Amino acid sequence: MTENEEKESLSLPASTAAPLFFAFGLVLLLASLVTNVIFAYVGAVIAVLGAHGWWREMLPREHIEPVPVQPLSERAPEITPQPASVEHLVVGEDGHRVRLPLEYHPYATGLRAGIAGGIAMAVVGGIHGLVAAGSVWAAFNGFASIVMPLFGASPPPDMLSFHPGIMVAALGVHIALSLLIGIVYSSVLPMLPGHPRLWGGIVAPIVWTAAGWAAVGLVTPDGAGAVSWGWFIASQIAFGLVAGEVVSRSTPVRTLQSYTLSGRAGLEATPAQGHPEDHS
Amino acid sequence: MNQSAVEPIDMGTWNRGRVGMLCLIFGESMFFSIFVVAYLFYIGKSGHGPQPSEVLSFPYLATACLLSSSITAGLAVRFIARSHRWLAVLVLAITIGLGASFIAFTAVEWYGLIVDHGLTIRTNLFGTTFYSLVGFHAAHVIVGLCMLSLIFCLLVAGAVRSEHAERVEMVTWYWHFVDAVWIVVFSVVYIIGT
Amino acid sequence: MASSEGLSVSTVPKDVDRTWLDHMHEWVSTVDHKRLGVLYIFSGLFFFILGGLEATAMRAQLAIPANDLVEPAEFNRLFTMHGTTMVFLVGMPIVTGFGNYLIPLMIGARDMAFPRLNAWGFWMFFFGGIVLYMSYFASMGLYGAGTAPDVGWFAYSPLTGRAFSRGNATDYWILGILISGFGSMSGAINMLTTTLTMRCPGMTMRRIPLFVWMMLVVSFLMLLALPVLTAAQVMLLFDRFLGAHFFDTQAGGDAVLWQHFFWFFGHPEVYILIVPGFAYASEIIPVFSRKVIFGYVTMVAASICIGLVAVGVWAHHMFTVGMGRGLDIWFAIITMVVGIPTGIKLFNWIATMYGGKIRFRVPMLFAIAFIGQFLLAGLTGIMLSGAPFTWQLSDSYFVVAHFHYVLIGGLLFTVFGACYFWFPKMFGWMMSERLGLWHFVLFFIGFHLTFTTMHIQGLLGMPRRIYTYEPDRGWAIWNAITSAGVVLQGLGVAFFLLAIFMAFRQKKPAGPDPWDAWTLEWSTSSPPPEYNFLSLPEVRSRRPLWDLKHPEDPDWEHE
Repeated sequence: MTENEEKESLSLPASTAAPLFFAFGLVLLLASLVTNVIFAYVGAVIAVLGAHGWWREMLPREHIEPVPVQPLSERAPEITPQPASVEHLVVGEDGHRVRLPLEYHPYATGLRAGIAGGIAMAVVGGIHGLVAAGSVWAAFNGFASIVMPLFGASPPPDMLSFHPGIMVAALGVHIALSLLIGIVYSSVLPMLPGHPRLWGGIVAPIVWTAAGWAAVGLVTPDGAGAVSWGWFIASQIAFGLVAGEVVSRSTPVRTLQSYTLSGRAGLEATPAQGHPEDHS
Repeated sequence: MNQSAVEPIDMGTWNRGRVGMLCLIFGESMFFSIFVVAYLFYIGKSGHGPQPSEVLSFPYLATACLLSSSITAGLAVRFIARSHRWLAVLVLAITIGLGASFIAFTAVEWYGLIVDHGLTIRTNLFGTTFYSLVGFHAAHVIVGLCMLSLIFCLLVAGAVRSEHAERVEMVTWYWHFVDAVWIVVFSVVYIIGT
Repeated sequence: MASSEGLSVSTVPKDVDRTWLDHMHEWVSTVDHKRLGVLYIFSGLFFFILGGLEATAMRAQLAIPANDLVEPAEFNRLFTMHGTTMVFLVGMPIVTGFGNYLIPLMIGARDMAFPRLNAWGFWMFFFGGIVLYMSYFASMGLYGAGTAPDVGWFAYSPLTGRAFSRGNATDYWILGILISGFGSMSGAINMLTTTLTMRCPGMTMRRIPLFVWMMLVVSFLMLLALPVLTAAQVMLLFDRFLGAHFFDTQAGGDAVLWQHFFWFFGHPEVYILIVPGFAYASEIIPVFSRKVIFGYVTMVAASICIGLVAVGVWAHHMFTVGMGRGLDIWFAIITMVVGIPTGIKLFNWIATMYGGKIRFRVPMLFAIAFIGQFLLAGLTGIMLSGAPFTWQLSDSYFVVAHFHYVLIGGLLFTVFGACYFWFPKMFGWMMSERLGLWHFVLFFIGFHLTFTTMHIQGLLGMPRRIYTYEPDRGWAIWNAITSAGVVLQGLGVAFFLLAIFMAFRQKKPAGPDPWDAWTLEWSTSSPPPEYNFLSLPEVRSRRPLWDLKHPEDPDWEHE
């Protein structure tokens, strides 16, 4: 029997109606505003009595009372080990619903893919401008002339020269999106069946260009006509091919699931690792 | 595998009293911040009636009283903890005196505002926000004074020993909070508002 | 809990000698967190019946067009009292009640940090509710100067000024909530202090149940938001009684300021209401999926994020007030952001169920319904967060449908689940599974008949707070369906009350651990002794009872 279990009673704060009286007094005081001033006086008196009673409960010594300990028959039984055993999930077992990747590509790969793809896309864009209008900046200014009015800004004054403000904003958006899509590529492409270069290089750019083509008419009335879709697809495919290439050539890192059972079993105390069914 | 006693972890300095008082202070800060926001929002918007720059003068003495009373309150706790009873009584008496002086100064200022300048809570927006903000602060000072006076009486009666220093310190934390609110109040009312 | 020599001791009369007066005295003078929790919960259920009757009256009036069952002024009082009752006198006490009951048990403590403050808080809440309902009687005898408030549950200025709300009706609204608010604030101080300072040895912050974490977030929000409401209400009282001009537009005051203050309280308030629902779900779902909660740390982080971000979204209740484009955009974006941690939690609950061995007992049925319903409710909230969408649908039944979906589909369902889950612990008797199933099915169907349909009326343009509508609007059929659902919900609640009553009648013993759960409260007898624990199991993980039941695979090897 432990120390507490040998006692017959334990001490707990004594029950008291003092807080109730204090509350009731305060309520009468406030209710006098909408009833009669007499309640203010009555309420004040009751509140003071209640506060005094509460004070005496705490000081000079806290008022505590003994509470009888439950007899053995009423106490909860001590918890004993259950006969049923714990079902462990094992990765790779038949019918196992958990799909854990055995290897993955780190985010750094995705970032590199995004940067490389972004450069490729920009190069194609520059060539388009050079070929179509005689200036490398033409395609970018053309794009800006569609996008900027949506934010209430005025389009670039002329299509051929370099406009620093516009190019900085465009560069920011371009870098952000390229990095983001690059990371998506590094996570998703290895998961897809078949050839990642096909998915990332051809299929994905065509799909998102088609979505953009469908949406641009909703956003701005003559936007669809202003974009030369052939060159646009070419630039997107350039991104896709380069980014997909970078991802395909990168070496994946092995995850914990690919370790042997004994290698895994010895690990503990590191979050998100350990037995497969306990992923927190 | 059972633990014998049901005693909570020893939290060291962060015991119930401190955490509870901090919660109360946090709640009260939110309460005051609404009155401060209303005051700031309505600065300059009173169309008629007395304006702050016309009728307010910086309450140097009152502020000095209140802020120094925080120092003496802290001293009182130290003395209680070291069982220097009569030093604690002296210092606590000074604290209460300084706090009461603050209230007296406020009362004098309000009398002047009401009688000489005709500024009441219903005069204009300045009156509304001034009296409610400063008034609630003064009410909290009075509550603090009541608590300090109770401690004073117990101290004189010899009922407060060094093991009670922790509880007394919680009351002084409340007092320091009231002081901090005053700093915000006079900055908003007497500095920014004028 | 100081213990000292020279106790002043009160005697406890033996069981056999106790009269009903003794029992009453026990309940009225209790400072025990378990009794106060039960008092809070049952008071909340009592006011729930009152609020439900108010809703039933409204839906009866709106069931057919051009109805004259309830006159317009009375209708205004009904929706005001219904909203005020449900938010302040049902939601808050139930949340505080479960928190009060369970937090000390879950962390291995004997009582809350401040037991007498706890008692004071309950009685303040209770008397506040009485004051609010006194307003119904105030017109008959006390100067004839008032009746129930009719200004809406958020009481906008300048309607609430002396000039426009004559008599004392609005004052009863202010005083009732002011008084109750002190109850909630003291409950918050207690829960926070108890959680931070009274955990048993071994119970680190990373091992407390998610319920306790979420009540910690709720307590923080209560301490942040309730004083704001108190301040705003005091300002309104000054306006009405002392002639102040806080919200008096004729003196240069700004009526919109009330809206800012109220919603700065009001939005954290709705999170105060729903996060405990998350807490109940987080305890029920793992037990009935026989799996540990997925992503404990993420759940904690998401709850804290929700608590912090919720403070910054208040003006999404004010999109139609004309705050200007910048503010509209900011509040729209931040409201969308708060959906992200909430979504994370939804995914984690689903992931907990995935691969588990699910037992479809009554608490779990309510929890599963909660997941789907809360998802829909959250989605309509995200729809509303786009300011132009709200410009069309503000103050329509779409908004009413949204918030009832979150509060009933989200909070009330988990509250029902929590009642069935913890009732055996609180009283030692099992509730009937059959009656619980009737309750669930009837209430579920009724809820969806009423509130899923209600979105349609809203989209068709029906404004809220109207007492009737013309027959040629095309709203009649939808209103009829909505009102029909109320009948089923009422029946469902009747079964719930019957289940409680029968549990006390039939007395099927529950034992300490009827659900084979894993947190500390299940190690005590049912009901627990007044002192909670004589001795504690060793706490080395988040599921101390699991470790004892399965020593071959304890949690602390994996955490």
